[in-house]
Amino acid sequence: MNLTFTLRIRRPQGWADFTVTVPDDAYVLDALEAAERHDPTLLFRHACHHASCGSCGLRVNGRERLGCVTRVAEVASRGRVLKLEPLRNLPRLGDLLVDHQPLFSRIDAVDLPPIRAAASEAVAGPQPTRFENCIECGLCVSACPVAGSDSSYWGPAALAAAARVAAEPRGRDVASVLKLVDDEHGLWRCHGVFECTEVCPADVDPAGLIMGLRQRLLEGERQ
Amino acid sequence: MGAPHVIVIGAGSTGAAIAHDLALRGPRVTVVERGGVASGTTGHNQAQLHSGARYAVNDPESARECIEENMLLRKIMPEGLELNDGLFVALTEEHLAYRPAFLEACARCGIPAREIPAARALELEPRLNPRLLAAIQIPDGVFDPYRFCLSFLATAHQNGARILTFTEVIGIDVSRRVVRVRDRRSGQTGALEADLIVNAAGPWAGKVAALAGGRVEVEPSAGAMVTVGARMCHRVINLLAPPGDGDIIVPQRQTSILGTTSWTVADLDHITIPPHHLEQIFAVAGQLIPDVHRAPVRGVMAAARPLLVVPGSGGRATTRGFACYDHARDGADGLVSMVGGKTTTARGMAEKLSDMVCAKLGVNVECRTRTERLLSYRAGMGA
Repeated sequence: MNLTFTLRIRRPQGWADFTVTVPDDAYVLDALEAAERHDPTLLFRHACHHASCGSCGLRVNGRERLGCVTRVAEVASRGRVLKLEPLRNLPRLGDLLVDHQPLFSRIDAVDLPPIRAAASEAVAGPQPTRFENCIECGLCVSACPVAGSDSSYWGPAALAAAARVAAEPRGRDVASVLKLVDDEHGLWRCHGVFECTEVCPADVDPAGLIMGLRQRLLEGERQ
Repeated sequence: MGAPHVIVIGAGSTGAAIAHDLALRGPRVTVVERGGVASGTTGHNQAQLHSGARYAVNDPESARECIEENMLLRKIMPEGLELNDGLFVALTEEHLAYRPAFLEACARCGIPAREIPAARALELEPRLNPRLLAAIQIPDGVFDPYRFCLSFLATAHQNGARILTFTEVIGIDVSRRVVRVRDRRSGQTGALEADLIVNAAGPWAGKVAALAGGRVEVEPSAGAMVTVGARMCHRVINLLAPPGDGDIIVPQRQTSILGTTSWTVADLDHITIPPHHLEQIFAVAGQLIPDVHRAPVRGVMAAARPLLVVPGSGGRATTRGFACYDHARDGADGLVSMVGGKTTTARGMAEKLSDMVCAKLGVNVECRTRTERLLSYRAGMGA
């Protein structure tokens, strides 16, 4: 079965409507690719199509989502309009295209190693490793009201990355990372709205990690 | 006279690795890509760092390339790989019968393959089918295709390369060595002059070559994969059998990628997955790890593949090897193409192609990518 609906895309010059028909098990990214066939000037980013590269984040009906794993049927119904907008709080390059570099640079500044220890049920054998949970997609940065009001704010993803370094240093200098984020534009700027945790597609729980790191710093002061 | 200028078309793993290789040897490099980095074949691949074992019996040349590059990548991008090895698992007598040929072929190709007791395999990977009869450990691994490309491009950029994404090639005047492009962000068209043009457009290489009057033999093929939202294993799990559909499970982050199938497609920009392919993938993956049937589906994807054509063969029989073409052979001197191959072997492919490019340009500098450590994918590649 197919689903036909209106894709309303926020382009730099204003909203543009595309009528698209996709299979009812299609993802938002499939709908975007269908729209792109009508209009090859439509700009959006995508790579892995399985929620690992983090490049296809956007706002679907006002909510941060990954286009690649959001089923159209979950968010659009026949005759309804599906609104797509770019992520907020990252430089916009066009249509649904944003520049993730400021986010990458902040995570790089806290020096989160991309590879971590993996939890293993195996009773024997070497400790397996895997990529970090965070896919650096920027959904949390877009959803964060503080990031929207303070461009110097480190933002949920980078603060969560700092917390991961503190939890599993892997040779990194934890003290210098904590010093970076123990700042009025760092850990203490978060208002605890938890929008980041709400929208995170990778169960990172940035807000929870921020609260935990604050507690660690406060306990350190008391000692 | 300044350094020669090379335009590389395509920012998948092939183009990214070529840009890195050439930027280290001296030419000025500009990469043009119609979409984002890794938005085509590379981005949607199964993320398997091949040991080569899969190809050892039927395609030993590809197998040797895989193991050599696998070992090199561990040195140049140590933080970009999940390195937990892989297992080939036998479930039937037929699979067991394949074991001697498999082990012998791995040995011939220089792939360290070690049989481990079935009970040990189940200790390492508790979700494996408990009825497994044999398991062979090989040095497979896992990468992140998008970050793989970003890493090569960031390093190329640091060495002077210019990376133009969302820039589509709309024409090639090969006699004047001019590539006409459209900046998809501004809509403006322009011309880039070069001393040599490199076509690294993967499955689209035929279309790009045709713009210059050149020709490449690439089959428009596709592969489907399913990702489940659970890490079912830590090692890449392969079926101990000749390569077939859906016989690999690749763990990555918190997910597992099941696949792949293979079929021929007419339009690379509009691939529809035949429904029975997903059933086929789950049927085979479910034999390896029965719990995949209980895991939530996270994503379904299809990738265009740049398989080299072997005349008269079907999808799986086309080679996973690669070829460089100097289009002087079709009267399009000034254009070279790199077709086929795998992300695992991208660095080695780039070395061969860059050797050809440098020979044509009179650049007498050795390849340095075997030992040059790559920058982090977070390092950036300019605006």
